[in-house]
Amino acid sequence: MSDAFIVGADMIKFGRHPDKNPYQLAAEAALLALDDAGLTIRDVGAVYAGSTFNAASMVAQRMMQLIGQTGAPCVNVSNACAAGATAVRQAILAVKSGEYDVVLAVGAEKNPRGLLASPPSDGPPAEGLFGSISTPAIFAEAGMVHANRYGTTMEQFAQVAVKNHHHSTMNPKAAYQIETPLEEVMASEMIAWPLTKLMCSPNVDGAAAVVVVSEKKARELGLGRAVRVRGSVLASEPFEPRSPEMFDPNSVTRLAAAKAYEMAGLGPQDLDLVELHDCFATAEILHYENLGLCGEGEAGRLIDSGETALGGKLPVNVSGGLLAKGHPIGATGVANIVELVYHLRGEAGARQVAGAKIGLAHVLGFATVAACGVHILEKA
Amino acid sequence: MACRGCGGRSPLEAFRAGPAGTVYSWGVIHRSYPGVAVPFISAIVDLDGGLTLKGTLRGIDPAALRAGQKVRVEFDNAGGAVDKEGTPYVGFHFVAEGAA
Repeated sequence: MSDAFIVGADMIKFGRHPDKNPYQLAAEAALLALDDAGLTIRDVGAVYAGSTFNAASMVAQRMMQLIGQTGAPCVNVSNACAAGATAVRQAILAVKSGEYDVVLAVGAEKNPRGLLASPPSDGPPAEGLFGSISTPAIFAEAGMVHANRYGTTMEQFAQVAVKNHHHSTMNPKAAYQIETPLEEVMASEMIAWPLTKLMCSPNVDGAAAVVVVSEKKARELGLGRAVRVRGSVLASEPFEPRSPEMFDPNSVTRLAAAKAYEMAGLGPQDLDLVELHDCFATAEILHYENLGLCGEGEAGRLIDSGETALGGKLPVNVSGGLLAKGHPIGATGVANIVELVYHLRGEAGARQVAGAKIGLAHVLGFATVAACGVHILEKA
Repeated sequence: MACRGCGGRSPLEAFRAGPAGTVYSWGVIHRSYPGVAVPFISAIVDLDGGLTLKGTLRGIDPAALRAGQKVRVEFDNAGGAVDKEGTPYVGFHFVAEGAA
């Protein structure tokens, strides 16, 4: 079975794109990634497109209407916030199967505005009557489990936002590029205690794409800027007694991470950078432990130490993360991988993680039940 | 349906939980959807004897709330909601023990 390589990777600037539809956003990202690879749509054997809100409208084929209708098979993926990572993984599997030498994976989204939630299918609106179904509430509750068990403080959760917003000032493609000092994060509008507005990822539009190729094709194109896929894993929520009353972002991430490390033959100690799913500041704290970046109960200490900031031992979310770069649902999982590729090639500009050779990208999808994608990439 | 824990097909047994439980986790909701009164406590409660419920916790100052707080389930009329035939719903919320 062939190894899979990423030879093209890019994204559009995340933010509000009121004058464009999701197909146009997907097309722009796809063309950027193809140009980056030195390939055209005529070279592409298959297309996978992640778009949680637009998959049913055949976002991939609509994109092909804008960049070239070659007749290549298209698969449209909806998998909550894991849609983009799912599309990339399917592209990798398609290449590894030996059927295709060049596969395009794209994630594109026009997000709805405001608080996101999965509305009930019947009965009175649950919000307020039966607790809260908003995503900030759910990640407040998940974070409070950590706070209750280990004494993690609101300041420690807030420091995640301070760090990631700081990182975003070096990323011209982030939706927001502003410093947010601790006092500002703490004093911003309270959404769901302990989460203030600056500790919640903004709903923005965006698109990102990668070109995945076989080893044969990668060698033909030249390995100079190629990135090798060492691990590519998708997991679904395993049985947890409290779920779905209590959302559990932990067990599905641990399951996916363990499989990805095993597939790669690597461990957390081998990583040079991590892009993880900081949809809310509490989530980053939880995922430090879920991904094995520190021991159980040590995540508060880890954020305090500065080791996960750019210049630290293991920088996390140097792109600005979802908190500052923005979270266009289906695009996020592809954009995390694009960020790794920038760094592994040494092309990440001011936020470059020096000497980065191995990176991990993680996304967590949730719509009353969870999905998780983890990818481990290595400079070829 | 089969058991979601093990996939086993042996018939599931009915389970009756009591109204007493303890708070496992919570968030204090300050921004919600239009028309929903805030703030309120969205709580995850482990009922004694094994079952977890999410609901709104009333009758306690959020600043005084700690994990392990004893609560009880109280049934209510789901805010007066009715279905399209006018039949009322049954709802529930949690009340902190030792609180008014």
